[in-house]
Amino acid sequence: MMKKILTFAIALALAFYITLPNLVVAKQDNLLRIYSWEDYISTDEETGETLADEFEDWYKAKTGKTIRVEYSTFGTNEIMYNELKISPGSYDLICPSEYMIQKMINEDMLEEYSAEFLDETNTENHYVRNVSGYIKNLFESHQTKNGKSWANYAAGYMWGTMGFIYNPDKIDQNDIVHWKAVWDEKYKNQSTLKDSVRDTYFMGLAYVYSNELTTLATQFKNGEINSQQYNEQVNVILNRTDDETIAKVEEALKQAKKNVFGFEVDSGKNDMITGKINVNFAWSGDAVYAIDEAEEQGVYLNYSVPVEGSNIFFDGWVMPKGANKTLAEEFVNYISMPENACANMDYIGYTSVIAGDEVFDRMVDYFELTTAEDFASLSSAEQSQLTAVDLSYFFNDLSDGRSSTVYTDVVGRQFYAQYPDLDTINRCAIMNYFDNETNEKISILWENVKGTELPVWVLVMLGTLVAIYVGQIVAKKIYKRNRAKYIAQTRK
Amino acid sequence: MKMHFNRRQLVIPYGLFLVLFVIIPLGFIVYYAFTNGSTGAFSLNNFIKFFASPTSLSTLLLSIGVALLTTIVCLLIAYPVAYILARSNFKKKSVLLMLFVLPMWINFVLRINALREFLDLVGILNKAHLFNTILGMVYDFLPFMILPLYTTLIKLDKSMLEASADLGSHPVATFCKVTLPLSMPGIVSGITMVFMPTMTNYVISDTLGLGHVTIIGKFIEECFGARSDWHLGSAIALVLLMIIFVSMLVSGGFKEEDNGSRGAGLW
Repeated sequence: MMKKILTFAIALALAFYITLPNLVVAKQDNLLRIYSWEDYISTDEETGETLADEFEDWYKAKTGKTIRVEYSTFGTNEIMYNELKISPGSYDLICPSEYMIQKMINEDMLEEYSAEFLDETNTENHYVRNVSGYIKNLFESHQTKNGKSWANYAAGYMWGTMGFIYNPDKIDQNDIVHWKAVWDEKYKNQSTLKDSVRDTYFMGLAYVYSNELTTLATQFKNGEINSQQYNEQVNVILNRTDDETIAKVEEALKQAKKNVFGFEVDSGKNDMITGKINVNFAWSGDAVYAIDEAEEQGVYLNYSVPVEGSNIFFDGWVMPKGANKTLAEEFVNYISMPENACANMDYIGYTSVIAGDEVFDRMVDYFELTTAEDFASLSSAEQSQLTAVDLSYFFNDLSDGRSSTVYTDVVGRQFYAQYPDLDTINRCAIMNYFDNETNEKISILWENVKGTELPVWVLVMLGTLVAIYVGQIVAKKIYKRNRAKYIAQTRK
Repeated sequence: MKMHFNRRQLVIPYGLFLVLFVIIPLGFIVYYAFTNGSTGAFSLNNFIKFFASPTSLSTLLLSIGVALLTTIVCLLIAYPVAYILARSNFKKKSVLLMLFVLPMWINFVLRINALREFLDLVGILNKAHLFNTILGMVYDFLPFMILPLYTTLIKLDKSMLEASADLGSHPVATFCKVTLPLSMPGIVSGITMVFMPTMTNYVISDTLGLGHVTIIGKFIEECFGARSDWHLGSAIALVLLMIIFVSMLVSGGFKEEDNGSRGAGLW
């Protein structure tokens, strides 16, 4: 009986573990399984319906076929990656960050987008027709080892920069345009680092090589190098991972740790609003959110991307091997329709990769900007109060030859975080993924940076405890021996 | 038809649970801990990697220190409370006890964040990272110490105390020689319920230590996260398990409390 039950339990358990992944892995023609970041798609506040749900209706109206969308979310790229490694084929469409896309392309985990999807002549192909030339160029210029480019494997979704959210009342604007603000004793306990290896390592790099980066910036300003050369150089510097660099960055980050308020990934936005900190190293999308939230409470925050150069990141849609490509591609086109891109931007705060007139007009409305056409009709006094922002790199295909330069009287706030100007873009680099060996080295760096110095009291306490324990054993032994002696003596 | 369940059949649901969620996952951890990341062959490399790194070791020691101090403070606070509560003639005892356990019913994250705001208000949030962490741990785990102590003390046979007094023992001596030894099971179960979770509860150290305090649980999380080294993470988890095992052996936590065969001998 006992054995039977045991065998039964084990058999059942094994069956459970074997069928579990299979239950998840089930590609169906009328099912689209999307795996994306939390809070990363426009959601109706009242009904809780996301654009993914609306896609079902849209698809039905378009083709007459009924499909179902399963939308699940992950918290970090690594969680997503591990899950996909354990049960491949469990999703049709995933939205990882650039470095993870790179890694997945390298490990041959992704399906390619079809030629039909990339065909710009088809008016139904909203993604390729609407994506900004800047993003398109970025994707196409990154080759993969099989002679293709990122554009073959990934379709962009959201992108942004990294920089500082700061409180202009407390922080000198001239300091905050440099990475060294975090190391500055003047701002002790006022700034934060990201509790995430890649981002903080990046910041360390920018700090360690700030002289080199400043020299480059000057050369570019003086016209000694063109923007392409400048950007290439910045990319090289901000992707260094040699041993000497790692050692320097480790030292720099250890110093920074002594100066900062703390490490965070999520609490920074709130701590800015409540005034616990005045500088928050942040992603631009979070900056938009924090600035908005703070404004409601009467606190005015700004966003700055340091002049030495920064990180540009994006998240993109990729299809893992074995995905339902037809539906996945349909969905990417659906989510890339300008009105959906706008809805997502309004909801998330990050910047959509989609450009075009509609997105441009939404931006002008939303941030109350002045277009070049309107600007011309203003008086010179009015004109002098506005700052020109050159967005030609992003909105490069506006109709009727409209100018993509806009004018604003609000500098360095939500608008700047969502649409950085050309100068900022020139000094921003994409950070490549670390290969396994480098990842291990940087993990050790991180371990050393995050590790807490052992306080003396811990050693004293542990020592005392061990001493007490040993002492007790010894005392017992002596007591027993003496007792035995005593008994032996009294017997005599 | 009459339904008949014997004892062994009734145990099937839990047996299944045990195998599914305790034994097999533990098997996975052991497998990962003893294999090499790249080849999958047997290897002790993960343990060597852990013990050869001074940072890892000091993180481990720090965690043990934090956990020990938390346990001691919890014990020092909880014992008198449980003692008074168990001995008092106060009619609404259960209400009082409920007040101590009440925080457990409020969402953990909420409580810790509230404490964070409070510490900021007091002005020590960014000044005493280690102190804040331990404070948070004590705050969070105190009920786990009070409850087992209270249940042991309330069951304590009062005639023992009377006998001790009758034989001329001073109340202090009665406490040391009767109450304390008899409440040992409660103390041990309180310690085991506080010590281990404290070593790995990195939400508290992250929220209140502001990321300046890294305990071993955080380190394991990093291994499974950005570091993508499940093998190292499993090895550390196994080391922790061994530490607990040893400390239980030392404190005598495995001793059978009542030797009845009830509940023993499942299979």
